[in-house]
Amino acid sequence: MVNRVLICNRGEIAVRIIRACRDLGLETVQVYSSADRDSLAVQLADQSVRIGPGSVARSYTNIPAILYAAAKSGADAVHPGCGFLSEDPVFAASCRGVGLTFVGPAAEHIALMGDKVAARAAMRAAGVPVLPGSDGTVDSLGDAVTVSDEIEFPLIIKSVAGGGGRGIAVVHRPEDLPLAYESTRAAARTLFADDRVYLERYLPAARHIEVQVLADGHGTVLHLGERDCSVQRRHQKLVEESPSPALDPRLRERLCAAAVAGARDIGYVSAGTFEFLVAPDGAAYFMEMNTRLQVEHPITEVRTGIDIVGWMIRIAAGERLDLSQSDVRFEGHSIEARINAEDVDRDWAGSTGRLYGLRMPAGPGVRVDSHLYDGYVVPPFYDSLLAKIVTYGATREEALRRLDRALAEYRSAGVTTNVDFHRRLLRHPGFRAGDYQLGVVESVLAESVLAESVPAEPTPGDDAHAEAPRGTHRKDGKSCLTSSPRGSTRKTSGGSSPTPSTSTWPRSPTTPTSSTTWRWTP
Amino acid sequence: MSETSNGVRSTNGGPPVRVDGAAPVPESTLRSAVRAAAEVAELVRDPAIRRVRVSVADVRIEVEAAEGGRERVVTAEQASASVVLASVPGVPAQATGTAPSALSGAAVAAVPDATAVAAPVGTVPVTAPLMGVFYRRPGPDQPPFAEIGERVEAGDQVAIVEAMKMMNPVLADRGGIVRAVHVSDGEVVEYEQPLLSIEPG
Repeated sequence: MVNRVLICNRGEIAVRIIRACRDLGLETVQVYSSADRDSLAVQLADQSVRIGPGSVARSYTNIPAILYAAAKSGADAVHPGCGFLSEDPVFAASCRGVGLTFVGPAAEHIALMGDKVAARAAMRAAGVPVLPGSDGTVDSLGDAVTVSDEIEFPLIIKSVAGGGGRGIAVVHRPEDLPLAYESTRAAARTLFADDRVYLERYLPAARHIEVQVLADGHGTVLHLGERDCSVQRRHQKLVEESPSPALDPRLRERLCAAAVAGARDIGYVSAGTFEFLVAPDGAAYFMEMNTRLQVEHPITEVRTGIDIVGWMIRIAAGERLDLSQSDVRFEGHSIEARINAEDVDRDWAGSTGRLYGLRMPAGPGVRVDSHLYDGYVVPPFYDSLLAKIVTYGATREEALRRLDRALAEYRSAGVTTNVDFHRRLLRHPGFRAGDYQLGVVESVLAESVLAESVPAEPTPGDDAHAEAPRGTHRKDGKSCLTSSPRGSTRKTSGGSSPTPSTSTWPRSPTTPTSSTTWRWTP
Repeated sequence: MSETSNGVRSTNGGPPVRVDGAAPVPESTLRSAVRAAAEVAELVRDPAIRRVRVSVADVRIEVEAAEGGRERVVTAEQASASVVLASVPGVPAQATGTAPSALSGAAVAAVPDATAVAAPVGTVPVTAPLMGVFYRRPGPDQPPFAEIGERVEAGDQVAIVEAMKMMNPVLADRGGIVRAVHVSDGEVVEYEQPLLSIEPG
């Protein structure tokens, strides 16, 4: 039985979980750090418990403090949200050890998918296509050469313990392998005190497409369709849309079936996400599985009408999914833009401070998930996500138009946001056409530079295929390829949505002022 | 802060100021108190603000808002005077101070939680250094570290907060008389929750 849910997260996702609990008639306990004492989540929850100072290690990832808070507040379930402890098997096991219902999968599944080599092996066993690569760790240069003959170049050397784009190297030619192999191991030894590495084929141009699954403890495994998360910068997702404009129905069916098979094969229970890399030729490969709620879950909720957060809680409480795959309906098109407190013109530096003059978008086809309110202080300790603006339309074109309308309505001052970047992205021809890949962000930025008559080429990094660190950070933007968008081959979109006509798309923004320069007057 | 309704005015070289009928306070103390109030007003920039109250000896700044009746308490630097600054009801305190600095956003406490208790007048709280289980005695059969009415010196242990079998000592940060103990033995306390109140001296 679940009656009172403790939320050990913050920001918009904490607010989202509180709302799901309210919808289910459950009580909520919000734990918080001193820096979040005035947060919306603390205001909305039935109870709140201050567990530590602003630093993450002493508050939101402080397992003893969270368990004491559960005891003090009488909570019987714990929802970890995204990031922080959501994929920490020790935390999941600790909760169950003290009799708390952990709203998430079994600790064993978190641990399995947290080990990249073990995850690859498990998915191969389940018949899910994985990138050609080594069967396990590659412990000598001789082995690396042997493996490289099978998987071909370019390939990528990844540290088993790696994260955040560190401990990886892309190798384009056989003669570069020895140096790259040794230096990656040395770097991994220094960074992670673990020099185990493995090899995978490197896809120079690809899309990041993930499939949402929902599995209960009674044998039902559903997929809720895919999300295209190819708009990333340094492994951080910025925009997600569903359906993907790049998938034809057959490939979509294959990916969704693979995700269901993967979840079923390991006996997974809860919400989860299978991430795939999809090459321009339609070849798709499993990258990894996220054993938690995803930041971008709303676009799936909007299209299917299924409350993923609510179901996560109900499944954790032992309930049975009351629908079958054929009951899941996919309607229209949905897209999400992440509004972050960051200054795109200053190398995306984070921005903190008091936010005021807030005006949130609304109206038909618009959903906003946010913890903002007028006068909210963005603290310096956490990630920069301020709001998720999600729009829905019968077609991709309508969803994009509504997103542009919603972004134009958004206003705030005091903190610099990336709203203008999103509007630039919406005017990018490749994005508008649905014909874009990982690297589209660099392409948009390069065009802005060109517009100022300064020649520039996007400079793709070589830190692709990286995983963000587990535990303390959101790891949403990992495993991305940085490809040269200018060099990529155009292909006709095979998606289900019509390609928007450029002639009908507004060519210039209609907002009179930039949201970041608008001034608040008392 | 140039002028307020009860006649407190001028932070720059004006004459000594009436402060709750008490003896005149040093100009520097008053100035820092007024600056703190201005910063608080700036910090909570809220049209609903009715009143800003600074009680420096108690190290306490209160901002009263019209809506919700929610009071915020901020810990400021210690001094030795008491100042009340009031603005015209419904009109925000005119904050001429600079952007929040000494009192950052993180210093504002929303009161209605366990970290706020009714402390005796003229006392300062000793707060929990971490979340855990509170004990005011070294062992089950032993007397408390400090009884109410007893004098403690700065650095004296006054309680334990246990977390994961680690006994974390809670020390008095100043000398004074213990006037209240707010928590019972064995109770789980939050971070920064007031445990005892000490009357400095």
